[in-house]
Amino acid sequence: MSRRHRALLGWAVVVAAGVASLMAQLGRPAVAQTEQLTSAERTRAGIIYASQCATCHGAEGTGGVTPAGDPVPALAGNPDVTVPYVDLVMRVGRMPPAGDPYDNRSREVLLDAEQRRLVTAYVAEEFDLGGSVPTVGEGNPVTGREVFAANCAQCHGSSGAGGVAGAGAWTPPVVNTDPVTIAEAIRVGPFQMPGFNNQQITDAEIADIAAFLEVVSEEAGTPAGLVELNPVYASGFAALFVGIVVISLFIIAGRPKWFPDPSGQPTGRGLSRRQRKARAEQEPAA
Amino acid sequence: MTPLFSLLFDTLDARLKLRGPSRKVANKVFPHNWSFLLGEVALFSLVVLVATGIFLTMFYRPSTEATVYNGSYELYQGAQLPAAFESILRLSHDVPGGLLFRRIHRGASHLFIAASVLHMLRILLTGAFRRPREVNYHLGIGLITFAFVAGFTGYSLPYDSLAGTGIRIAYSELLSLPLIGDRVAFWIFGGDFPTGDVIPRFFVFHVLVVPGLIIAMVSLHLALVARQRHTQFPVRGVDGHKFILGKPLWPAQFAESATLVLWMAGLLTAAAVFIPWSDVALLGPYVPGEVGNNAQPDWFMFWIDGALRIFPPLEFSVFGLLTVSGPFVAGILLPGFVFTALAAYPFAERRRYGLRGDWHVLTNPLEIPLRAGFMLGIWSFVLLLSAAATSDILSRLTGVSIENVLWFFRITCVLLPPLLGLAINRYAKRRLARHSRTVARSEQEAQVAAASTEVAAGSKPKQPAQAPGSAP
Amino acid sequence: MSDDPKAELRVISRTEPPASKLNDSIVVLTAGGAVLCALVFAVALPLGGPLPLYGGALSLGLLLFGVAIRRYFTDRFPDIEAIELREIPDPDHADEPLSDVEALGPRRSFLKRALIASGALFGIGIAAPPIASLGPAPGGTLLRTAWRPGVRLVTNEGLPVQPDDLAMGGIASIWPQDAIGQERSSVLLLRLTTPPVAPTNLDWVVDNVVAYSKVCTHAGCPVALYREQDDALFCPCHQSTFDPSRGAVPTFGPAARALPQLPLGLDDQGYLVALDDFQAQVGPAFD
Repeated sequence: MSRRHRALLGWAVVVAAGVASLMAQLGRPAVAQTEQLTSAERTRAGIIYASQCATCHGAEGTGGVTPAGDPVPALAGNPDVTVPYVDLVMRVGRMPPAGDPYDNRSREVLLDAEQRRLVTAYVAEEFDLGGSVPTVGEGNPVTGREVFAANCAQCHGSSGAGGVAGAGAWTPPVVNTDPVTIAEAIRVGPFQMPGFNNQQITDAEIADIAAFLEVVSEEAGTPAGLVELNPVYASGFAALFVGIVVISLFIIAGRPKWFPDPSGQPTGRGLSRRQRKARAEQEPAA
Repeated sequence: MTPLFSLLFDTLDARLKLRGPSRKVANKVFPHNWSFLLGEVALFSLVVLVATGIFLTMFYRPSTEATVYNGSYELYQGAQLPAAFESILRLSHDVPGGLLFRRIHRGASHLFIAASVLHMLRILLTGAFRRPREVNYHLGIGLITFAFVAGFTGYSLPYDSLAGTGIRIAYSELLSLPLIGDRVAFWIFGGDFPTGDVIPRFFVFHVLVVPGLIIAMVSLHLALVARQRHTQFPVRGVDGHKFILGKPLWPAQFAESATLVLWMAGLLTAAAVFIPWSDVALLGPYVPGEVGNNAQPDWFMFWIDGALRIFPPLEFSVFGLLTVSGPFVAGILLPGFVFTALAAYPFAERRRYGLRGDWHVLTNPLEIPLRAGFMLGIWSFVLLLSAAATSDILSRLTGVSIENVLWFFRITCVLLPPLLGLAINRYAKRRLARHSRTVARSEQEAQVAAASTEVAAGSKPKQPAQAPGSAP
Repeated sequence: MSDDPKAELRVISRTEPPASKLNDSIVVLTAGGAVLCALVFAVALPLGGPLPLYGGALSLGLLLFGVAIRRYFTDRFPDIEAIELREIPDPDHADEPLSDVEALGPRRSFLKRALIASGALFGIGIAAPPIASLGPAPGGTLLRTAWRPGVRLVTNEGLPVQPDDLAMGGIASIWPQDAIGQERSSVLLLRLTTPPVAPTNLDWVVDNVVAYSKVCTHAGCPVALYREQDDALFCPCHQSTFDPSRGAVPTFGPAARALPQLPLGLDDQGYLVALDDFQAQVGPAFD
């Protein structure tokens, strides 16, 4: 059942991309790229696929199970898998996995832009995938912030810093993410994320969200490089600050000493180094 | 004395008779210890809070009405915002020094509450709460409560998305009061959340009612210290029950306090340059029904938020009359229990050991097993609950699922505090037994015990032996 | 007053600091530096200079002035340790009267008690009513929301919604028409990938589209985080988790009650409407 609906989603993406390309011709800057590989590129892409993807997904894209026994989705004939989906997982470093493929915290991206382009085009040709990699135009950050707050902030945080989603899932940070990744993720709804179609978030609004996140990533920090703090981190800094104030108390009023031992150790009063020195100089005279 | 100052002083002295009292004040002896300055830190933070707060009040608009922002901050140009949030944006980005003073105000609020709590810890650990100072100790607990209220209302005023979420949870907490919850919540909020009255009322609480109460109570707190004099750490050869040993207000204590206030203000300003802890621009304004995945209160409310997070699902009706729910137990009963325990502790200790008379010399908490156990038990409990409020960050940093993080705190919050309390209680009892002593029941008894151990150890008093005797 | 022996400082020890030219220079330099910093602050702030510049100048100035004060006092005054007698409560004065004027005649304790009691009643009588006027009586406010039979579901922008407007596995925040922003009426609309089962009321499900109250039954936060693969709603405030395919019953965390399901139907134009108000209590417990 889920498969069928995902197929619908796939078609929705295709249709959306079609509409987008139509609008691009009317002056809207959202174009679908169609990629044709040269034979040299095909060979290179085939090598990358064989070394990075085929181990789990199979040379024929049939999927299966990992050596650890976890399921691996098929690439061929799987309505979930579309061009933007394939492109997205490589852009965010989910694939090929640098570590546990099921850990969805932010991770290292192993393929560069050129390798990604080749692999995307290769699997699209090889397994006959639908959809295309979107392009994102200029947006308005003011509207983008409102759309983000209404649709994205509950999972990714008000300023896109990411957060916790429960059951061993974490929502990734979305600042410093390129606009294409954002557009793909919103439409595809990868993994635990629900997808959003053009009725809910339009292409223009996606561009606005990307513009908002761009402004957030460029927000000027303090000389310590800090931008707006989560209350937990703020509390950490508050503790550090209170610690510094307490140290200044030691400088002003002498180092802390514990209570005198009942067997007659020194008193609890503290003296500064300067005072102790002055006293030591005086004591022989007294 | 400079001529101008002495002229002014003589003029006033001729009319007010200042010379005698001023000498008495200048000669007032202050025991000398760094931990005695924690209260002063809190006092000076309050001064900074009032000074910066007056500046902020000049710009803040206590309203949630939609207002168009036309300032220089890019993300909101031309946007409709709640007036409170809009005025904070203007203050932060369009008023010279506005952001600096907001950050100093926020930093000073952290310091005010932290220094007050550390001050209370010092009082509790060393036994400065004992007779005759119980009244002042309870005043102090009241002050910390109002400091929390001031902190929470201040956190709410910008009406950013975090603030609005916090207000919503506070409203739910009030609702959860059995039988009278809805009524009390409507009284404070002026109706069902979110009303237009919330922010104006929180503003009145924050700038008038609560600071007024805090200043009045601080004045009384200080007047009582002046009247009852300071406690002090034990000094060998000095009968601390009858005498105070320390430094005079002029010049030593004055110099320390003056240095402290300047350094503290300097550190607060430095923190304001480096730490953006009051910035709310990226959080965005509160919109009903929207929340960010970063909902956390300020650190001093962590323990209550942590309790709300780890408390198991609970909600039952009593005879259909009233409802007892998790938010009530975890968010109201539990903090109420902690505050009550703190307030009741002086009486418990006096009763448990049959203490007699007045106490002016501080005592090592390890000399009093009940106090050692109580302090470690209750404060480890509060700290663990506070840590539970950071569960989402902990989960993300460690890669452990949040459910497991919360289960970890569910178990440790119940098990660890009593175990730690009992362990240190036993240790303190054994320590006393090792020195074959019992808990002293009066200050004289304590001094005799200390003196006998000193003699037994064969040590010579360092202070001049005639010092106490030479006094009349 | 000067002959009052109590006013005199009883000195125990007195330490004089060694005279130091270096110290004098430190005092002058730090105090001068503080003035310089104040100058930078005074110029940079009104001119709209960068915050780190004027903030840093202010901070440095305060710290330097603190050093100047400290150095001045430690060098110019002897370090004195003194002793002072505590005021011990005097048992001889325990029965001293509080004032010298007493009430006339035999004691009439009844009058005194009556006066105190009526004073207390009077105080409560005039203090309580103003508190009661601070807010309206709750009445049934918290038992109802703005949802009524036939009220359309609309988005933040006020647009009506059809089931197909949501992506498969999608989620949307919804308001009653004409009550956008009325917090307790906010609703989550979900298009589930698998058909919901009991205890979901299947009569209120349209084409796998189901609506639940967005207000958490624990502390009232918006439950807005949806894990699509697990079919779980997650509250970002206190981590309560609900299962929308099974009537949004709580599966983890502090929430004890399911999110109420909104009776959902279609109007003749194919838009989603409420068939009625929620049939269960919305939001946290309240009495």
